[in-house]
Amino acid sequence: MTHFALSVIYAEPRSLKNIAILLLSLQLVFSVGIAADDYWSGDPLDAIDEYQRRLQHDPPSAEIHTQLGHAYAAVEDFENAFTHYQRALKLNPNLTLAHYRLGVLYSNQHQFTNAIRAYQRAIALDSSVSQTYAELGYVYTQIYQFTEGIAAYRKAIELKPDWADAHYQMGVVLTKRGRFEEALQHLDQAIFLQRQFPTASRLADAYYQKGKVLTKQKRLKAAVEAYQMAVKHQPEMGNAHHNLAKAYFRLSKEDTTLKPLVGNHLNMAEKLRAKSKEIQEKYDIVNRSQGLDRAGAFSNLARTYLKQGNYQQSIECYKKAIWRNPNLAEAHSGLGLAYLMLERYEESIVAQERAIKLKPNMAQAHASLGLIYLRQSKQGKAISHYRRALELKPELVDVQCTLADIYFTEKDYQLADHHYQNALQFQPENSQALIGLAKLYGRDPAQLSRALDVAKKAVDLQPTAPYLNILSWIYHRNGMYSAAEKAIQQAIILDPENPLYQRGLKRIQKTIQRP
Amino acid sequence: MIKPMQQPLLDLIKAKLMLFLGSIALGWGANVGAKPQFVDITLQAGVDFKHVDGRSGQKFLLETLGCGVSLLDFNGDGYLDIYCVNADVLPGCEREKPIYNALYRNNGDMTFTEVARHAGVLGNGYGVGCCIGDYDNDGDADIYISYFGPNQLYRNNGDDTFSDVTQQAGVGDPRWGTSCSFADYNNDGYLDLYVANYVKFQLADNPKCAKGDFPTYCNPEIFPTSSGVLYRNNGDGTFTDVSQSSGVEKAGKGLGIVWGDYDNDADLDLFVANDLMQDFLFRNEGNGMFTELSILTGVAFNEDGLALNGMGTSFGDYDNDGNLDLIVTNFQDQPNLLFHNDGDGIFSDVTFASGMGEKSLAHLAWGVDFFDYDNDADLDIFVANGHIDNNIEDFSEIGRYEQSNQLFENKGRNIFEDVSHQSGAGLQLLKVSRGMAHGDLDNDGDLDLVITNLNQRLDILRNDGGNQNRWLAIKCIGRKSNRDAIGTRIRVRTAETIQIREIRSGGSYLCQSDLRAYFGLGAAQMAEIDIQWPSGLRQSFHKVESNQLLVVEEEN
Repeated sequence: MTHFALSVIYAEPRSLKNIAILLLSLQLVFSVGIAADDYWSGDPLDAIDEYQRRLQHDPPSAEIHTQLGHAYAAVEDFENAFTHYQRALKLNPNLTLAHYRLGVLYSNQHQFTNAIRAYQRAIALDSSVSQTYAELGYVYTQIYQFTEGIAAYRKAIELKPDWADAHYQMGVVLTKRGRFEEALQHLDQAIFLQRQFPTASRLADAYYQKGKVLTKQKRLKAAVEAYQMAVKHQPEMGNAHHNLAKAYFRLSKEDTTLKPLVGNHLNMAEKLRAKSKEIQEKYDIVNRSQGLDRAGAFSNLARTYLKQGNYQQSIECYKKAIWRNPNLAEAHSGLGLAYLMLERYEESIVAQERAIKLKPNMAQAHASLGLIYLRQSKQGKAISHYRRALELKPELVDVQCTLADIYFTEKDYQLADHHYQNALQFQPENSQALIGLAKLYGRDPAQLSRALDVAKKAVDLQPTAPYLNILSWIYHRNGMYSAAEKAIQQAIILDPENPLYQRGLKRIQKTIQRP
Repeated sequence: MIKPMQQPLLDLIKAKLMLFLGSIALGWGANVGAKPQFVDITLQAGVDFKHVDGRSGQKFLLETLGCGVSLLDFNGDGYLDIYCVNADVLPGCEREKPIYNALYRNNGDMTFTEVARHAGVLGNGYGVGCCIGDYDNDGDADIYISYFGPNQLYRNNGDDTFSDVTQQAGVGDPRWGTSCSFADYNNDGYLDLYVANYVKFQLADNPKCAKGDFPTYCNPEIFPTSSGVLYRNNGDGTFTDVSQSSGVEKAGKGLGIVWGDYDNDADLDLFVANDLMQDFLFRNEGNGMFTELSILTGVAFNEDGLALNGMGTSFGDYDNDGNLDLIVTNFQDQPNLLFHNDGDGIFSDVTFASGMGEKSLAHLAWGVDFFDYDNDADLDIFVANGHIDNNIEDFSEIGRYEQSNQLFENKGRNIFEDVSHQSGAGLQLLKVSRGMAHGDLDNDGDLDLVITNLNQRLDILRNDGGNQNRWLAIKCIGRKSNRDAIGTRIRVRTAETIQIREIRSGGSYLCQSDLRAYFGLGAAQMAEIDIQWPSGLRQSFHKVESNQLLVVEEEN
C-alpha cells in the first residue's frame, strides 16, 4: 500500500505527500511476488549499505536490485532508484514487484503514462494483486480519468473486499463525481474495516471525507459527528477543525449554544494552517535547492518538523539530509534529538556520537547526550556531557538549569546554586532557575525570605501548577498558611487530578485548624 | 421611463433575424435545435490586436497575468466598442515597435476601426486590467486602467476623445494593480472604485525558480502581500482613498474582484479572489463600512479549508432563486469553485456536485462569468484557460500551455455540463487565454465573447444561434442613481422563471462586460420587469414584449 492512508492535513503539497507515501511504504510489508522476510524495514540508509554490499559479494539478483531501488526511493534519490529497478528488470523482466515499484516511482514523479504502463505490466504478470489495481486507480485519478480510476478501485475491492484504504479511495473519487450515496457506502465500509485495525490517521481521513459528503447532502448534524470523530482520531487535522467550525456556524443559527465552538475550531484550524505553512515554506526551499544545499534544506525542514512535534517526519527528513551530505553534523544531532523524543535512546546516542565525531565542539550534541543519559538514569555520564556542553557554550541556559537540578537531586547544593546563578546571569528572568533557587533556599530556614522572593517571581513569570506548589510549600515554611492555601488551590485549579497538590492542601488546612 | 431601442438598431436586429431565419429556410439550418455556435470572427472584423507581455526569458512574474479588455459604447452610438489593454517591454526584451493599448470602434456592421490614438487612450506603461464607469455622471463611458505602476483614469470628453485625469482625480495608485471595478458602494449616486493589487514585486529583484532543471515562474507565495484600494467618489471629479477607514484594507494578493449584493440588503458587497491565499468577502454594512466574512460564509477556501490560487470571479444567480451565487477560477489541478448562495448568508460549495469541479481540474482558469449564452432562461458559465509556464509540457503530463476555453451549460438541478466541444470552432481554439468579456456586439440578442490571450491575438467569438430563444436586453440610465445604473438589480419574470441581473462594472478577470443586462426568456413572449435602483427607487413594467432592447431611465 503506497498511495493510501495519507492524512489530509492542511497544505499537503504533492511533494510532501510523496514523502509521506514513501515513509509509509517503509513500514509496510509488501506481499507481491516476494517473501515478506526478504523485505527490508527500518533505516533506508542501512538498507542501501547492506544491499550494496550484497550486490558486490553475491550473484546478481533482481530482487536485491528491487529492494535497493526502493531504499533509494525512500531517501528521494530517484535516479538511483530508477537505475536499480531497471537492472532488476533486465535480470528478470517478469519480476512483478519491480514493475510495481517502478510504477510507484513514476507515479511519485508525476510520470503518469509510464506509471500506468508499469502497473499494467505488473497486472499482466499477476492479476491477483489488489494493490496494483489500487495504485493504478490512484494514477488515473491524478490525471482526472475518474471512470478508469473507479474501475481500477472496483477491481482492487473485488480482489480484496476487506481492504479499507481501497474503499476510502473509492469514496473519495466517487465524491468528486458527485455520486454521494455510493461514496458514503464505501466510506462507511472503510470506517468499519479500519475500526477493526485502527490506524488513527486513516480512520480520521475516512471520517473527514464522510463529513464532507454529508455536508454536501445538507446532513449537517451527521457531518458534525463525522468531523468530531476525525479530530478525535487525529486532533491536528486542520481541515476537519475548519469544516467543524463552518458546520457549527450554520447550526448555531438555530442553537446559539454552539457559537463558542465555532471560534474554538476556527482558532485551532488557523493555528494548524500556520504550522502547515511553515512546513510548506521549508519544503519550497528543498525543491529550489540542489547538491549540498539540498542537504541543508532537508535538515531545516526536519528541524521544523521536530519543532512541531512531528518526530517521525523529522527523522525521515534528517536521513534525506544525511544521505546527501553525510558530514552534516547538525543533521546527525537533529536526528538524535528526534530519536530521543521518541525514546529511541540507542539510536539517538549513535546519532549524537556521529555528530560529535564530525564536530567535536558541538555543544548541542553533548547536551542531548546528557539528556539521554539522564533519562536512562546514568547520572555520571549525563553530568559529564552536560558539563562538556557548558564548557563549549555556557549560555545554554536550559542545560545550566538541568545540571543544577541534577546537583540539587544529588544534594550538591553548592554546585546547584552555581548553575542556577549561571543561568540567571544569561537570562535574569528564567523561571526554571528561579524556582530551582526557591527550592534550594527553601530548605534553609535562614533563607526563607529569599526563597519566597524568587518563588514569587518565578510564579509571576510562569504560573504553572508545579511552581505554585513550590510557592505554597515556601509560604507554608514561612508560616504564611493562608497564602500557602491560596497558592495550592490555584495549583489544583490548573491540575485538579494531581494527588500531590490535594495532599498539600489537606496538610495546610490541618495546620490552619490546629489551635 | 421606458424607451424602445433606436430604430436603426431594431432594423438591424430584424434584418439579422430575417437573415438567420432565411438561412434555415434555405437549408443552412443545421443549427436548428442545435447548440449556438461561437465563431471566431476576429480578423474579418478588422481586429488585429495582439497582446505583448514583454518576455525576455527572465521569467518576470508579471508576464503571466495577461491583460484585460472592456466592452463599452464610448461614442454612444448604440454599439459596443472594444478597449484592449496592452503590456510593455520588460528588461531584456528587444522590440522596436512601441506597444499601445487599442480602442476598436464598432462600425455597426460587426467590423471595427482602431481609433486609440485619435481618442487619446494609448495608455502609458505595463497595462493589466481595465473597467468602465461614468464616474462623472455626464452620460459617457470613462475608462480606468490598472498597471504594474501608476494606474490611469481616462475621462470621456463626449467628442470621441478622452483626457487623462488621473492626477486630478487622485486614483493613480502606483502599486501592481490587477482587476478594477466601479460601484456605488454608499449609494450616493456617484461611482466609487475598487482596484485589486497583486503582490509587492520589483523588476530589479526577480527571483529564479525552477521545477527540477526547468526554469519556471515563481510561486506567488514567495512575494509579499499587497492590498486593494477603495476610492470613494467625492462627486466633484476627485476621489478619496477610504481603504483603511472602510475596512477593506486587508493584506492579500488580489487578482479577480466582483461587486454584488449577495445578502439582498440593497447595497453592494465585494468579493476578492486572492492568489494562493484566503479569498475575501467584504459585506457592506450600509454605513460606509465593510466586514470581512469569507470564512464563516464559506467562500474563503476550498472544501478542505485550503487556500487556492484564486484568479477570476463572478456573481450570478444560476438557479434563479433570487440569491447571487459565486464562482472563482483557480490554478490547474484545482477545481473552479462554485458556491451556491443558500440565502441565509452562507454559501455551500457545490463544485463537485455540479460537475464543474471534475471538468475544471485539468485547466488553469482565469476569466469567468455567468451569462445565458443560449437564452434558455438560466445562466451558463464561460471560463478562459491557459497555463503560465510555456514549458509546462517539459515537466507535467497533464499541463498544456495553450488550452481550450470552456463553456458550461446550465442543465438545471444545479448541474453544469461542459458543452465546449459542441459549441463551435471558436471554442476549439487552443490558446493561452486570460480575460473574458461578454456583450452583444452585433445587437442581435445573444451574447458574444471577447477573449484576451497572453502574448497572442485577441479573439472575438460571435454567438450564432443564441437568439433562437427569446430574449430581452435592458439598458438602465440612472438619474438619482449613478448614471450607468451600476448596482441596479433587475428582475425579469415570465410564466416559468424569475431571473435577476445586477448591472456591474468589472468582474471576471481584468475585464469589463456589456453594461446592458441580457435575459434569455426561453419561449416566453412577454415578461414582467422590476427594477430596483441603487437610489432605492423601484420601477415595474408589465407585459413587456420579448426580443427587444429597452432603454429605461430612472424616474425622478
